[in-house]
Amino acid sequence: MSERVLRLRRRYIRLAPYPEDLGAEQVWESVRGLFTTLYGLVGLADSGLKLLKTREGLVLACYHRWVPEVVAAITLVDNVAGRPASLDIVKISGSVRGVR
Amino acid sequence: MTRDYTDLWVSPDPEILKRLRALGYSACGLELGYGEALPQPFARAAAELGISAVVKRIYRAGSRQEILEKLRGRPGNIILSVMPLSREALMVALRDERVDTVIAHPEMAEVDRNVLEVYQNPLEISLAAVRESLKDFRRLKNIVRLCQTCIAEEKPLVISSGARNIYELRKPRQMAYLLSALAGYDNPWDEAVSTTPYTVVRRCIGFV
Repeated sequence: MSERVLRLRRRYIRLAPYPEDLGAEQVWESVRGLFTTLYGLVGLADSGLKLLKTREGLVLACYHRWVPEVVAAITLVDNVAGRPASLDIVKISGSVRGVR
Repeated sequence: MTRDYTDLWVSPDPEILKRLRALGYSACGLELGYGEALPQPFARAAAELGISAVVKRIYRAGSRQEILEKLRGRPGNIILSVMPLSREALMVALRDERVDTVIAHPEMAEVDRNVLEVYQNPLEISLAAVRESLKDFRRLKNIVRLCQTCIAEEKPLVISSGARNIYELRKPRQMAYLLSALAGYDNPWDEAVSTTPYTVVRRCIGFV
């Protein structure tokens, strides 16, 4: 007997690093590292957190229930690749188009 | 309705003021030492940017007597915050009307039901303290427990940056989300960056 798999809703978070010349991969490594420190590998897997390569710039995706936790990790990042930095959240939306 | 976002704890740096304005804050508390006044060029810069800047003094106190001595003759136009080093000091600071905020730190006494009974003044959690607690699991546990208790009991909470440079500042909604994430709530706790701290600033401004 087949069972219907529940489709989890995604949220897309657009970031603006400060200073602006930070690389996307470096920012992603910092966020992922801090998220894993806070919520572990299982949390990382459960949250569906990933980096999207879009024309809109730096966009992270996660499942909707994990938005506060992902935002908390982004907020706590204070250095990227050894440089002092802060990550500003520009917009959170349910679609990639919505974060433009 | 537009909220008045407030960062109650920053260092007096003109660059910090500009960055606060860019992030959407309309008021801030500037930490200065005992006897120091807000420099005039700084006050003018804050007024030009449209930010209400108020002097903030932080006192560390280990006993009831210390707190009462520090509160004697306090000016009304400054923010007075107490960092309690003992349970007795915590209870006195939370109850005394002359204290504006109580600075929470990872080594602070636990907020149990006896403390909750006298809890009137807002507890202030700084981003800097949360970041420091990431290095020590016991400290992080204390901070998380504090957030959970205060939000579950709907007690007044403030979250501030404790920023010493522009890279330590964050958008107000991000700070609100941080508090909610620590407490295990879904929605951002906006009161902690708007209504609660702005009430403190408004009282100080009204006093001038």
